[in-house]
Amino acid sequence: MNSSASSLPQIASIFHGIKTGRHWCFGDPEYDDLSGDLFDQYQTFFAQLELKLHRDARGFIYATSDDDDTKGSGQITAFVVFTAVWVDAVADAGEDVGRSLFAANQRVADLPHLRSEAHRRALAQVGVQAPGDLEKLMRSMSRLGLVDMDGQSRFTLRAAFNRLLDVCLDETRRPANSATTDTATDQTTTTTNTPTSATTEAQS
Amino acid sequence: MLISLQEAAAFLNTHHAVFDELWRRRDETLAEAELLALISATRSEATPAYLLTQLKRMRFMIETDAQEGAWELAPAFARWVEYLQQIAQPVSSARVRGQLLELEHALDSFRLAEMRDDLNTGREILRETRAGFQRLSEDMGQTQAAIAAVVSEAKGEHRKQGALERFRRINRLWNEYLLPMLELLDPAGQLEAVCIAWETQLNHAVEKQFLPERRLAERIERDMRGLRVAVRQGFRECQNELEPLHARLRRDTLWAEGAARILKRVEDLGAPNASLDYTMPTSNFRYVGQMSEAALVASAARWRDISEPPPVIDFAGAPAAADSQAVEDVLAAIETMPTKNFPLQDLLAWLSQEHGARGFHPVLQVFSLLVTDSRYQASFHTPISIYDIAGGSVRCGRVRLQLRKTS
Repeated sequence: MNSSASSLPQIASIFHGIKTGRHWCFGDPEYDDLSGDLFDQYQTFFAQLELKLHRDARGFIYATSDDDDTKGSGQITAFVVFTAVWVDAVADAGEDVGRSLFAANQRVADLPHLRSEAHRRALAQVGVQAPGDLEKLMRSMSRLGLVDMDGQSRFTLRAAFNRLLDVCLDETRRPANSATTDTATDQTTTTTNTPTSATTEAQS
Repeated sequence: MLISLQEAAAFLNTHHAVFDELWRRRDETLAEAELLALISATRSEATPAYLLTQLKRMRFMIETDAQEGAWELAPAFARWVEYLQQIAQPVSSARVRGQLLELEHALDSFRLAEMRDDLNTGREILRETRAGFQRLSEDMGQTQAAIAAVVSEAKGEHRKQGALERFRRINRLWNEYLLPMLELLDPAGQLEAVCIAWETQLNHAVEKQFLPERRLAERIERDMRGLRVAVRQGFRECQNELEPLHARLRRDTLWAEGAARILKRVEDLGAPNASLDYTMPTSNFRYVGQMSEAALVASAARWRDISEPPPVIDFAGAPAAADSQAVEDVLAAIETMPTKNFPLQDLLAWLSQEHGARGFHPVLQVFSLLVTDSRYQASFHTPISIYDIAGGSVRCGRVRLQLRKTS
């Protein structure tokens, strides 16, 4: 299989995205290129750099590094807590979670995150204490391609946001008592959890 | 203790908000604390404790058999409200199985009556059988209507139930009613088997003139057709409606459950110790990361193995030929090659075989010019091997060369 860089039209833009943990969703110019016939070639090419390209059936593509040093970050913890608080608040209100989260063109100011004391406590642990912090966090998600944001503090979740919801699903598969015995150094179980069964990965 | 109708009616009238709420949660069992919270939320003038005592005393709420301290709406009271609201109740698959078993037994009795040529008993059995098939149709119709009502309620925009409550109801319908019923209605299921056996027996009875009139058999056959076509189709429609709703509510419930568990872990251990950093791996290509410790150790091991300095290559003693005609000749020959000869699967091996006679240096120069030539597309493949070319050796991977497509 030919996996030379010269045969991959969007290689520069995709490599630039990979350096920042970008997710490409349906509608992105790179997504068309990545999801088509060239996917296997891109995957083979990036495998040489110890980067694994994943194609998800829900309409997004992303890469992970084989290098353990680059897999996790405190920012991911902040994203997960943000998501868990949001799902919890929406479920408490008796609303449909999927429908509420993926509603188009929402306002950051309308987010329910800071309404309850318990949620504020959880978010404070990841540095989110004010509506401005929420917006900052969402802009970080936007850089990763998880969220689309406009200049007026309005946003729409992208298909790739499902990865954060998968973390919630994965949590239900963990044995209940493991929640209190895990430590931050126990990376084996968490890294093998993803991608979830909902994802389909093309094998080269 | 007897409760007068007047007292019960007055209590219902005064505290109907409490009953509305209890009715809404009729499928749940509730602990006392939950009941008190539910009553408080209705903002009744009486105290929650008093109202709860009265609900128990008048037996509107009864303790469940399965669990001490868990309370549910008294089934007799629930049935009365259902009666008032004309609510269709689903029929359990166990009851349908029982009805099918009765029809099988009736078939055995009919065979026996035919053997004995006992027409009166035969007619009686057919009457009962017809009623049996009609009951089955009605029960299944009720079940269908009940499922449709719950689906419609769960889909409603102005609902009061949370996702978890709706999922519980839908899941119960799905697992306890719809799936077992579909199994029974399957073309290879029990209903079909009973109907076919009855059809065969009725045909036999008409042929052997045990039944003097075809009409008797035709009535039952008509009822069976109704069951087999309309009911099966109706349940399939139920399944089509229920399936996406079931999947969506199940997914919402799992998300909510996972989120609650994550938040509990954050609360118990603190966010930095909650092992969340690695839950969503991403890419983060770092150049510094390429020089890993393992690579350094491997390099050091190689240096240790070197026992003597490498041989000196005397470039001055073996100069490349200044005349590049040989290189030009080889390039010209390749340019005029028919396109069907491409791709060259192993460029260096091919050059060595076809043009090795021109010498080591021209072959290497041609090789390097071709892999960087924009008219061609070169790709490198492992493993690395040694190529012997015109008295020299080159260690490299396989290079595949193809013509670049021109638009």
